[in-house]
Amino acid sequence: MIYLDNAATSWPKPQGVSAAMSECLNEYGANPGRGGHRLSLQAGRALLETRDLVAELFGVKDSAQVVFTLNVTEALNLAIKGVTQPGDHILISGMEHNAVARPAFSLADKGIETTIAPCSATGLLDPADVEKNMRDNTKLVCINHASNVTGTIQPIKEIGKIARKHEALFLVDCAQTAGVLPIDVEKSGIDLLAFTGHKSLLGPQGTGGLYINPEVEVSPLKQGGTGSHSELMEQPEIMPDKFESGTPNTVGLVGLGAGIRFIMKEGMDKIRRHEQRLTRELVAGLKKREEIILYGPASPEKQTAVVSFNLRGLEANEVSFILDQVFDIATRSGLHCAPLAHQTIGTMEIGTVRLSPGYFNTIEEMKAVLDALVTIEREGSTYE
Amino acid sequence: MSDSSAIFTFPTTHHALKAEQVLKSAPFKATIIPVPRELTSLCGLAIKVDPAYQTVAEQTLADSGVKIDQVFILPQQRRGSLGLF
Repeated sequence: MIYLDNAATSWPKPQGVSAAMSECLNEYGANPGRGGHRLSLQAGRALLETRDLVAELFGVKDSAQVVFTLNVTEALNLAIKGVTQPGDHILISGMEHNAVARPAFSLADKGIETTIAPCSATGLLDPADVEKNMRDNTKLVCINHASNVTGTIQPIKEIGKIARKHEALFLVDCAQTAGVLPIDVEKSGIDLLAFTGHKSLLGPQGTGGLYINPEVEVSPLKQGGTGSHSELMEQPEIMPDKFESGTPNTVGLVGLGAGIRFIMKEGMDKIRRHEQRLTRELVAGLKKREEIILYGPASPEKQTAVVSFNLRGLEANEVSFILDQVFDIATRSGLHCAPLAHQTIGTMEIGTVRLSPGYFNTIEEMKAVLDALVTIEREGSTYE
Repeated sequence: MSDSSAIFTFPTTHHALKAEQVLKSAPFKATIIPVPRELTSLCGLAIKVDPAYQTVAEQTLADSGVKIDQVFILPQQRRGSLGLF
């Protein structure tokens, strides 16, 4: 099996991830922060370690400002719904995933308007288009750091400056970039950073979180037990408990910690360079072929390891199905939960086939995919 | 050994465990304990240090940005025969 669906979830995981999770589950699987016994303390310390690692990764000074969630979708919902009030305006880009677009547009009935800053045909957002679309009541600018459809990397530093100039909050969806591109919340003027644990951070599914600038007021999505301030009927205001009601996914978060440790040990630069080599191989191979329509920047420097294409004369779903069934190559086809991005690149009706290699893929595997596409093009009709 | 203890309480478990982590490298003993019943605290965990090190512990935690709720001085002799507190 050649697994090329890392933009959906990374696989395989580094060995240390399952080992750490297994150790947690079997050796100290108690409830963190809910008691004073030693196993509970050990679970609590493990959670603290992962929180500290996430903070270190994103240049966050106080790890209490990192809140854990189920995934990036929950983090984005918390940020978008937690900072906006009736009368506010939200600006998003033409490359957003439904994890941003749906929560933002769902606020329309509360009198919160969302508009879209357009992107180029390769998915790039020009900061000038952010500036043009800012309004007096823009409360939040929410931008995808890199697209899950084309891999296009947005100039978040420049966009952050514009948001700040207009006194709007800057939320960055790092679903595709956390763990593979360097991100510093202070340098990029990020007020809210949403991440997922199971993609480039190499942790398990069911992990993610939100960094919240200490100066930003956010309302929690849920209320409940936090193991603190138990006598109060009101949700505590103190971080991170304010946003972490209920027992957390301790085992998963321990796995996330192991994933981040692997990244730090290998070096994010080394991981990024390897993924760029894989992307370069795919882009170069696909570009040469007349029957292939390639989307996005087609440049490993301007994108993450996500390559979308279509094969003329065949449907994306069919190509992906054949790649899997005949060649044992796992890819994703369709709209990838990002209809706005498909509107932008002009594939709303047909979708794309998406190849998303990861750190554990090899150049030989990229060659095998390109060869398989040659065969599919030649033999295409026999599969119909 | 002093006949009293300085008990640090914290707003959340995160801060109590962070305090334990920060004080691990300190040249004095800082032990994580459940909050003694006579104290009111926002979370169930506290840190116990010898009162002689109260000020330096407070300073170390402040330098590391760990939020303290309160510091109490409690006598040791009223503790049970197992002497853990």
